[in-house]
Amino acid sequence: MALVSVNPFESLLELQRELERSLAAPYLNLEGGAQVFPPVNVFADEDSLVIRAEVPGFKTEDIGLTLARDCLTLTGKRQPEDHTKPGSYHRRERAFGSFSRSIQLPKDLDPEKASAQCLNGLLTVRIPKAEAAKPRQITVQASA
Amino acid sequence: MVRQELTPKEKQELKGQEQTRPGRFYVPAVDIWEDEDGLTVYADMPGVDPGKLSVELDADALTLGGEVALADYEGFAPLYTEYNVGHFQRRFSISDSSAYDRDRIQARFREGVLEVMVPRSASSKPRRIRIASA
Repeated sequence: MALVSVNPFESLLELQRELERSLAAPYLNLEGGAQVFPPVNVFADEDSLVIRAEVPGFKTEDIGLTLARDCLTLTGKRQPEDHTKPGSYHRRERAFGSFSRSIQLPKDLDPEKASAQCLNGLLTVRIPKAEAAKPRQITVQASA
Repeated sequence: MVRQELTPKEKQELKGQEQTRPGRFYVPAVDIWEDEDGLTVYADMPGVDPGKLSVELDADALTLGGEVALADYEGFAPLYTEYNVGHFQRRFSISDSSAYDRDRIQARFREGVLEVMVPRSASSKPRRIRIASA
């Protein structure tokens, strides 16, 4: 019988509380508090490890992802807006520039099956667990 | 070519304004550009559902909003987090709002950035006065 996954996040508040709970929890080589851009969130779903990062304003072609053994490297650059007419900024809060960040991953993943998507400024990288590491269902035999 | 390294900034929480729904709201980082055509506000709202964006311009304020989709987190168990997630909202008072054409406001959402263009009304555009030589 397959496990039915129930979405525990009934409200935004619950999701925020769950994320808060895992804030700065030690994980592999990652230390608490985002010291490097971009801040990442790491999740586990039924059969994969999912890494999320907020990269607003980055064109997909300006983001690079490399997965080598158990190390994921994210790189990217964000260009400032192009203005055709002379003018000025009243406010400048958004940053532009480049980044490079490496994240150590657990060893039970299958890098061959990794996939990534960048939608609305949110980068989601999914790396499935290796077959051998997936939980196996053991059929219970009725003894003869 | 841009050489600078990006550093992470902590998300700013929206304070001092009660919301009817529970959950923390965040203030999106913005750039506000003005030229002779008008005002353009660029607001970083990553992960927002494009159908849940709002742009309102009333008599003296521009309010931008965006909601994240909870469904994006369905089935996910957090292992390690560095940032929290929430809806965005920010409100700007516009001094001299009559100089702008409210009816021609335009907005677009690209790569998680909401761009709002508020054009200057024709009458308020700076006019170039040619100086005649004597």
